[in-house]
Amino acid sequence: MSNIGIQQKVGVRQNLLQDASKRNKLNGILPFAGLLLVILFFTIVTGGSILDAQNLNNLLHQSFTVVIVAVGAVFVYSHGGMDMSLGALQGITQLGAAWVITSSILPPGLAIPASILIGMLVGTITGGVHVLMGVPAFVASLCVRYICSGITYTVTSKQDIYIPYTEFTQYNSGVIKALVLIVVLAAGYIIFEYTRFGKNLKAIGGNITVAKQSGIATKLNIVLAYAIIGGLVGLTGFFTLTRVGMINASSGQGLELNILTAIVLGGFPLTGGSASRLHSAIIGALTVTVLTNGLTLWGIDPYIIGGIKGLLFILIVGVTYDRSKGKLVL
Amino acid sequence: MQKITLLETKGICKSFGPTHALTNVDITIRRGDILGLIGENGSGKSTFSAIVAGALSPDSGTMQLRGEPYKPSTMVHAQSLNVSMVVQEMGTLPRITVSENIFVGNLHRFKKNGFLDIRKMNSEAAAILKEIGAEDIQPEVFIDQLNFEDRKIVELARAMYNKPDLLIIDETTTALAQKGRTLLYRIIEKMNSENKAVLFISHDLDELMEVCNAVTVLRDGFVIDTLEKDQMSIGKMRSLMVGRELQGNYYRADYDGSYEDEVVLEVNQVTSGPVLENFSMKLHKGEILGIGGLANSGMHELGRVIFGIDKPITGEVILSKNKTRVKNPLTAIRNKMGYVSKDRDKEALIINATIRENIVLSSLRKLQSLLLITAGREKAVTEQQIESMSIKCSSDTQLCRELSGGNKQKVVFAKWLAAQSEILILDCPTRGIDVGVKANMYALMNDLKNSGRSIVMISEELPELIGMSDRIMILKDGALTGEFTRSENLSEHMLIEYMI
Repeated sequence: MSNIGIQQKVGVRQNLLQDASKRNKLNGILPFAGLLLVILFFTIVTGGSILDAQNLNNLLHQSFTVVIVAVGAVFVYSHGGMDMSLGALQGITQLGAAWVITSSILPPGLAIPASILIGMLVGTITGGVHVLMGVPAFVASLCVRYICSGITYTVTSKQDIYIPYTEFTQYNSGVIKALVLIVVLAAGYIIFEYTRFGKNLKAIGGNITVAKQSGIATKLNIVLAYAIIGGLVGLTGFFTLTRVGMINASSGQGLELNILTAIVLGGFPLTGGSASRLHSAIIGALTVTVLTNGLTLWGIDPYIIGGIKGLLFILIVGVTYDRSKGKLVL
Repeated sequence: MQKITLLETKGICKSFGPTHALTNVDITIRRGDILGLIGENGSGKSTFSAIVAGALSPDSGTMQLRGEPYKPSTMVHAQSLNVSMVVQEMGTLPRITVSENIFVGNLHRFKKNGFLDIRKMNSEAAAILKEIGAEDIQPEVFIDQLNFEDRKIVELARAMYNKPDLLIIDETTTALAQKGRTLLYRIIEKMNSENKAVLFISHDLDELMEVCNAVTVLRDGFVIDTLEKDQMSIGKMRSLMVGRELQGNYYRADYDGSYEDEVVLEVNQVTSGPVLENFSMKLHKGEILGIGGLANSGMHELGRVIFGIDKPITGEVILSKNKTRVKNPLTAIRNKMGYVSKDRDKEALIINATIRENIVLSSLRKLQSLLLITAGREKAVTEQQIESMSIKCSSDTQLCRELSGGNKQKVVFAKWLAAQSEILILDCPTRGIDVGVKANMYALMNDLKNSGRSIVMISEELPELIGMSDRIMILKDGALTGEFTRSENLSEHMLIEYMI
């Protein structure tokens, strides 16, 4: 083979290499572009009112829950898990917080740790049922969801529960929420990217057999992931309660779908593994929030908004889901 | 005699991420050809055959079949154009019957009033199986009841049922014993006599010499040369594959066979899995202990039990140093053990993760300080392994699935070396690896031995057991049948006697 021939071939290779890296870059940018597009679209159709001061404040409050729970979802989805109990779980953490607040013995300040603990406990149950009894996470969390919503429904069946929420207005300041957001994001980022726990979860998502054979206590790590998302749901449960001031049978409803949509819109792999990135979930959470907020401002019926999100979810999964696996078989 | 061109490829390119599996590949297959395709792991053989068979589509380039443009979209499509392939890995689908496996993708042929005519399907399947000389396989049994070899034969039947003009066989013979091979060679002969063509991929150069009438050599995705029958010789093929002259022997040169008296690991009366029963052994410091036998002799189960993956039904595995009992992989790893599974892509490597993530996976505990693991420390460990193992990759963050088989195996080894393992359990460490990487692995094992590490090498390859082990234990039906110490006079015959 002549030298010229080899040079030509090397040239062909370089072109192919550039094409491949271009494709990868594009996939990384897509979720950001999606967020910008959503913002741009609603700025136009709402005549700019999505960006006025009042609505920006609304966006902060609305994104608070989704972003914080999305941080927890990173730990669950990165190992290939799934949690369908989130909304109902938030409902009962609110119940717990309300119970502490309205009790005459306990100091109301305990409401925050109480709702976080309840969340962690229920998360541990979900994770525990999943790994110890070998029930798929989807099924285990679905069962837990019905148990939780059953409890909330029973307690609130006679009448909705109210708290004297004027005593908790300090928790509704934008500053407090922004601070909590920053702390949760920073802690989530460090734990997910720079600790053994985060790396273990990605390994479990990549291949659980390999993870086991590499000395990772897979069951413990998985349960811990569900405990974390539960705790974060509890945290948002408290803040939601102090903002709304009441609990009824539908409190928290729809949170799991918002999170699922956020995961998908942000380009977070549904199967978990090595490609899982915290920022993907956050971008997705922001996109979902802006989308919901924008559609509401635009005057769309809330029930139709749910339908739109479902359609969007199918569309994104349909376009991005990796079907190449197993193609070699036939 | 001028042969007629059956398939012609022009300028085929295919890349996986940044890795170029094929670059401008031009190959011509003529009627009556039995064309061998050879090259080291990662040279692009399997990629090329997958493209011809319709399992992958090329990034660029064209193909012509029987003089017409050929662009298969799936393997079923290719098969309808009379191009069939038997794949390297297990290609049968579990939990369905033999005949459903043979006609998978074509079940509509047996539609009768909207239902599947199972009787007709089974009788056609039986006819095909008879035609290829495997009438002992029942079409109506579930595929899971067959052994590995018979499943491969079912795949052959699937490839043959619509009488392909071109049959592609991708490293199938390694999975076949005598019965399967005879059957396969008969099919190849028949294809040849009917003026059809076979594309035959194998690592076994002796086999290629015998079967093929021409070989094409691939290296790093380029076609290097095509040798006609009269030009073929093993030495020439080997040097074209590697790009340099290879020395004949890559095993250990010494016949010393000594190791220290210190016992590092004891297996006491272990019973595990369906066959392994009351098995005991001792592993010494600086010893390479070879474990040989047939696939179902219990030797693979032994490896899993030693590393704590399977719990023994009775008996125990004890680390002599601190009398610790190995209960699970975690205790094993804490006591500096490492395990290389025989099923690399499923059990030893996260193929969709980066080289770095895989290499540091068993060392995360050592890498953390104040509970944090920085990317810098991970990178340092990885770079060191890439360097010392000479892993061919574009960077430490390249995905493992883009690497060739040999380089993947190097990553698996590197993972345990990074964890500073003192005791290594290697289950078929060189399975499906080409000559060049094999030589590296053997040299590495020798170095490890000389630095006082201990190795249990479970292998189905007798030359490797004889060539590398200080001591060989042969298992049959879950029990020890023979034990040999390293010697120049050891032959494969002597070992086989105890295996069967």
